Amino acid sequence: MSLDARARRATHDFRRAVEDLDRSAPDRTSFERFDLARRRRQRNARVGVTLLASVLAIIAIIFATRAFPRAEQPAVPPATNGRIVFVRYDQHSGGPVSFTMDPDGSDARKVFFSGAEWPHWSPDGTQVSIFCCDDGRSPQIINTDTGDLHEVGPLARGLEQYCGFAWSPDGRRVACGNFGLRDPRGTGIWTIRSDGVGLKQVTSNPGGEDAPGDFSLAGNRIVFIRRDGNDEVIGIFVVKVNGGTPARITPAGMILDWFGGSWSPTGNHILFAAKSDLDHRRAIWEVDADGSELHQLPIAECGGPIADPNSIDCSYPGWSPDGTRIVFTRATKGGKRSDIAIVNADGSGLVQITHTGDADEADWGTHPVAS
Amino acid sequence: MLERSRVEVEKPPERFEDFYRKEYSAVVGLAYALSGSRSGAEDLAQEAFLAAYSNWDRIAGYEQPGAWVRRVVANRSVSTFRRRRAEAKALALAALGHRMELPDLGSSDPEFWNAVRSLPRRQSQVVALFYLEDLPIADVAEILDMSPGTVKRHLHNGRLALARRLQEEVEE
Repeated sequence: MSLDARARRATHDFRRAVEDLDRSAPDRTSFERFDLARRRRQRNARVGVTLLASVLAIIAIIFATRAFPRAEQPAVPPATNGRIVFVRYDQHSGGPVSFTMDPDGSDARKVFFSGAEWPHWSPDGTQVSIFCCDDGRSPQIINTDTGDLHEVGPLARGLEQYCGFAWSPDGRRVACGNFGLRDPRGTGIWTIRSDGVGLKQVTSNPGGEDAPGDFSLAGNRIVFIRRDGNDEVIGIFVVKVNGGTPARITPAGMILDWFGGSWSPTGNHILFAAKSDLDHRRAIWEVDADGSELHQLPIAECGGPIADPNSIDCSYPGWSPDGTRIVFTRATKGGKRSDIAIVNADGSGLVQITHTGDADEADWGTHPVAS
Repeated sequence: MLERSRVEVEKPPERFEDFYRKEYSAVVGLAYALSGSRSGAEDLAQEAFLAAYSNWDRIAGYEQPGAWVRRVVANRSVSTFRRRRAEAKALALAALGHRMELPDLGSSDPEFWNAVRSLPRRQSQVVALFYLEDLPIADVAEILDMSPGTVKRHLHNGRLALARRLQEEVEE
């Protein structure tokens, strides 16, 4: 049989099965389910915009002195800024490829072959955690100088594990966003030692999703984003690594994406991406870990109206190791291309450091720069 | 490219609900073909439709709104993390009895679709759209925002790789 004949046969059966999809729904039709989710999202957004100003004031007053101590001693002293790891969608291989580069965009070096996504530096700058190789679940950890690779494991039974989005400041543990396949209470934030043992549950969100953002500078708290069972974002939360009740630090109804937050290495400032309303693009926001001081960083062109062809979508922010600068993804006009840019901590001094239009998912580490 | 292809003014914009009903099955099918995640395909498609709804005033004006949604699905479906996460979440919800299970879409020739998914990202996108949706090169190029020449190159390389893996012959 020829390839095309086999493709036609496989496609014909496939199409028939797809056409039966709607008829196979046992309860609501697909559009009714979609419409339910859409209306819930719209309602939440309306309520959020209406209440945003008053909630901000209330949060600032109530939590400023109660929720958490404002000063926290870092587990390790602030580090010097080193190389940035990021992903490019390589046109030749067709897959995401992780690279490192100096903070001025020079000396880009491939870390891993095609297929590696979501790279994150270990605090000492020797290793990068990546998701790769289509086996998902556990991250691979690669030494960027030697190329040595090992997998965080073994996997726990009954859990789908997504580990490696954040390293504790001492480099001993990584944070996971797991799903309980047998026991729904297993869905939530977990941590695991970087050698693959010592799995510990931090939060439980049955039917929803908790995605880790970052550890606090002392390593005793985690910032994360929480979704409910309808895939609606509830907000960004902070929780102690030994468990307890998470505290929400973003106002209800704020339009967040999937990013769980980046915690400043020198204080309690947390970066995240959000829209001011549905008609605007994403911008970089900052909030303190107690929910106070919420504000959008004034980065040039970020977060403008979607109707404005010159507006820019900004996302995936992360602190530099010394806490003085911010790296983020800056989409080009129209959203088709994205590059990596850096700004000062107050949003000033914008510098675009990649110019290939295919860069994303940057993380600033301490690995010594090349030049 | 998609954004510049505006409909003539005399044609009224399509209602989102009509668009959704018309495109839903094909978009879920594309998500499944590329992701291989039976239970995550619906979530991937839903995310794309929600993105389209949020910008419907603009997207409804495109010549092919369906191409925009297909591009979103094609890009998300080939992200290892995103498709695995969508599948895991759907399975966790199914354990709670919250979601339906999709029929086994690939049962007729799972080896063929597994081979498609094993291709490099751009090749798998091009091959899936070419075969599954029976689209001409120009439409595949518009969906994936690449030149027709690049589509032809990916299709050529992808078909050769498929033929090797499936031990079939390629008709030129």
